Amino acid sequence: MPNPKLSHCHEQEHGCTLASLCDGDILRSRQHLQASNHPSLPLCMATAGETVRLIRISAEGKLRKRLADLGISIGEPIRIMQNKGNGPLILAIKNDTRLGIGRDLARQLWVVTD
Amino acid sequence: MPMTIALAGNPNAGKSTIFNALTGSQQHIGNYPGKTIERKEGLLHLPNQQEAVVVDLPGTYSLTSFSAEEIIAREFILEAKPTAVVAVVDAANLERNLYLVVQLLEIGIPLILALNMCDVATKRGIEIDRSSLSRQLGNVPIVPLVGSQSVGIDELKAELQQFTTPLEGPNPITFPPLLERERVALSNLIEAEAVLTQYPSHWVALKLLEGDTDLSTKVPASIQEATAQAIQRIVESANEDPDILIADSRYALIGLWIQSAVHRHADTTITISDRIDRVLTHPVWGIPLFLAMMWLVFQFTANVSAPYVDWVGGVIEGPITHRADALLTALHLNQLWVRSLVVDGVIAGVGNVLAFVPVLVCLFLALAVLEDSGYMARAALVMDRFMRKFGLHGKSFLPLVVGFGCSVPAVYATRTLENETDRKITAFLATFMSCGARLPVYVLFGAIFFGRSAGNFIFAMYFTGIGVAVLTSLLMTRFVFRGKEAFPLMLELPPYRIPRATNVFHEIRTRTASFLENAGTLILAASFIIWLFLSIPMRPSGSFADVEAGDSLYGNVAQVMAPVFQPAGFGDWRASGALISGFVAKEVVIASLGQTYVGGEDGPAMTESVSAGDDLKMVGISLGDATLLTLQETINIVPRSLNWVPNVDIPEVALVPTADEEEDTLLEGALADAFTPISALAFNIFILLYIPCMATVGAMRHEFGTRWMLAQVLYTLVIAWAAAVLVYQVGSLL
Repeated sequence: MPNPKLSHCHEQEHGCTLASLCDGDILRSRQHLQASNHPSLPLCMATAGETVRLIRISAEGKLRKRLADLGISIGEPIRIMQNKGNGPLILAIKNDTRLGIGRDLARQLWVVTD
Repeated sequence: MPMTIALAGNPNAGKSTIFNALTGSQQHIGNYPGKTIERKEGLLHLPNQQEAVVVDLPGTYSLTSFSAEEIIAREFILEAKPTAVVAVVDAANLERNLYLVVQLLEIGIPLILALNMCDVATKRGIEIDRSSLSRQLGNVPIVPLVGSQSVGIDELKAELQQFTTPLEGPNPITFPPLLERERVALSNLIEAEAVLTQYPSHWVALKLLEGDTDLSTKVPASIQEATAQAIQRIVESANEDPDILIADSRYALIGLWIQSAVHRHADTTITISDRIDRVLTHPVWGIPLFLAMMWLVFQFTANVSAPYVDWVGGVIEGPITHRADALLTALHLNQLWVRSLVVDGVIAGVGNVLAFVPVLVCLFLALAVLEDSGYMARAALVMDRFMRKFGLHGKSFLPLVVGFGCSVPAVYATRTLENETDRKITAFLATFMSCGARLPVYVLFGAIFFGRSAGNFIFAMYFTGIGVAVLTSLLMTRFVFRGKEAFPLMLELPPYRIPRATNVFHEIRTRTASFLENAGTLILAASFIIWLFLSIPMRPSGSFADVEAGDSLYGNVAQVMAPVFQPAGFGDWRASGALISGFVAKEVVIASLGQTYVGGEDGPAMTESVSAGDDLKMVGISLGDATLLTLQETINIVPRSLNWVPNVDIPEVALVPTADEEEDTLLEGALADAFTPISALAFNIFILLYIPCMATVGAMRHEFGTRWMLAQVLYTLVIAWAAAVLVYQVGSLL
C-alpha cells in the first residue's frame, strides 16, 4: 500500500542520491487528515479488522514519545487485530509490527477510518 | 589496543543470538555501575587472530534520555567511542527497526547493519534490495543474517575485520528545512561557545530541539535560551512540538527508503503469531492459560529442582565431608576446632551457596524459554490490568509466583521487567511470598498448636504474606516512588518463535556463574560468621568450636536480643536464637529449635571412615536417584494439576520409594510447653516477614546494590516485629 504522505521533494541534494524531506512531507498529511470530513473517534471504539489512521494524540510528552518509538505517529495507518471487552488492544502497524496497548491509552488516540 | 564493537538494536531484534554467535562462551554478565541494568561483554576472535571486545548494549527503541537503558546505550556509543557499532535489525519488522538506525546515523558513528531474521522476511514475501538500502543509509555495509542458524556470522566477522572508519561524507539524515534551519543555527552556536565538545554539535542541537532533559541541563543558559526560542519558532510555524515533528520526519525518511528498497510479494496481514494470539491473549481464555503457564513454571522451579538440591546437600554432607576428614587426618590436623572450621564453616557455607544452583538452573531455563518463545510479552498484556491495581506491572506476576518456591530465583526473575523501579518493587515484594523453606516451620507449629485446623493456619500464613506484599506495594508507590507515573501499557508483541537451545544454554550458564560470583561471596561470608558465633565460647567451661549453643557468643547475643521479642510473646532466648540462625535459611529454624530446646548432638561427631570408592558410588547412585525423582516429579505435574478438578483422581507415578519422614516428637513436646497458640502464631508471622534468608539478601545486593538490600532488611525487620507484637497483643486480649 503506497503511503500518500510520502513524496520526494528534492532528491538531488549535495549532488548525491540521498533522500531528503521537505516541510510538506510531515505537515501535509497532518493538515489533510485534520481537514478530512470523516468524524474522528478514539481508537478503542474501532472494531477488530478495521484499518484506521491516527490523527491526534491527546497524551503528553513522554507518552507521545514512547508511542513514536514503537512506531505510532500521526498519519500512521493502524490495523486493529484485537479489541474485545475491557482488555487491551492488539494493533498492527507498519505491516509487520504488533503492539499491545492498554484500553486507557487507546482512549487518548484519535483516529479516522480510511 | 583491541577493537571495541557495540551491538545496538531493538529489544526483540535478536541481538543476544548474534552476541552469542560472535563471542561463543567467552562472555561476562555484570551491571553498569550504580544501575541494575545488565552489561554483557564478550570476546570475539576475528579470522585474522585479532581480538575484539563486543559489548551488548541494552535493547532500546530509541536514543533519547527517557529511560536509563537509552542513556547508557547512547553514552557508551558517544563516550567509549567503539570502533564500530553493529545495528541489529529485524528484517521482518524493518520499518520500525530502522527508527533506531536513523538515530544512530544522526550521531554520525561508524555503523554496520546486521539484517537479522532474513529467513522470516523471505518467508513473508519481503524482498530487501540491500545495495539500494545501503546507498540510502550513506553506504553503510549491510550483512544479511539468520542469527538462529548462525548464517551470516562469518560474513559479519569478515566485515568487522576489514572495517575501516568511513571518510567524512554528508550525513544521510537531513530534516525538513523547517527543522534543519534551526538545527544548523543551534549547532553553530554550540560550536562557537565550545559546549559539550565531546559530542558532535549537530547531534546535541537536534537533541536540544527534541527537548532532551539530560542534555538541556548540561548546556549554559545562553544556549538554553536559544533553544527555547528555536522551539517556539517551530511551534508557531508548524503548530506542533518539534519532538513530534522530528519523530515524524524520521519515519517519513524511513518511508522513502522502504519505498525504494523493499518489495512485498505476498500479503501477510494475518501471520501464524496472530492466530496464536487470538487464543493466548483472548480476554477470557488468556487468563486461565496464563495461570496454567505460571503453575507449570512454579512446579518446575519448586519440585523438579528439589531432588537435585537434596543431592547437592547429600554430596556435601557425605562424600565431600568424608574426604575432608580423611585429608585432615592424613595431615594430622584432626583437632576438633580445625575440623569444625573446615566442615561446619567452609564446607557447609559452600553447600549453602551450591544448594541454590539446581533451583536457579531450573528458573533460568523456564525464563529463557518463556522469553525466547515470545510468550513473556503476552503474559504482561494479559495480567497488566489486574496487577496495575496494586501499583505493579503485568510482568511482576511471574517473580511473585516464583517467590512461593524460593525467594532467590524470584529476585532474579524480576530481570524480565524493563523498568528499574518496577523491578525493585517487585523483588522487594517477592520475598513476602511464603517460600518453600518457611513451609516446614508452619507445618511443625501448625501440627502442635492447631491440630485439625493446621491447614487453615498454613493458608492464613500464605495469605498474610500476600496481604503484606499488597500493602507494601501501595505504600511504596504512594510514598517511596511517588514520582513514578503510572505509565500505560504499551509493548511490542514479537512473533512467536521456537526457543533456541544454544540461547537457552548460554543464558543458564552465564547467569548461574554470575550468581555464584556475586551473591555466592555474601552467602559464604554470612555462613562463616554464624559458624564463628556458634564457636566462640563465653564461659570458661567451653573451648573454641566445642561449646553448647547457650554458652557460645551466639547464645549470648540471643539472650541480649530476647527482651525485644517479649511484647510479641516469644522472649525466650532459644526462640530468638532460632531467628538468628533462620537468617542462614528459614528451614534451619527447626534444627536450631531442636538443638536448644531438646539438646542436639554433642559437638560435631566424627564420622566413621568410608572408603573413597564407596563415596564415589554414593555420589553416582544418589545422582541417579535424583534424576529419577526429577523425572517422577515432572511427570506428576500432570496428575497433580488435573487432580484439582473435582472428582478427578489420577494416581501419581512413583519411580522412587518415598522415604518415611521421621517424627520429631521430643521437639513437639518441648515447643508445646514453651509456646502458647497465640505466641506460636506471632512467632510464625515473624518468621514469615522478617529478613529473607542470607541467600536472598545476597541476590538483592547482586541485583540492586547494597542500599536497596539494607532498606529491605530494615523494613522487613520492622514490619515483622510490628506484626508479631500486634498479633500477640490483640490475641492476648481476646
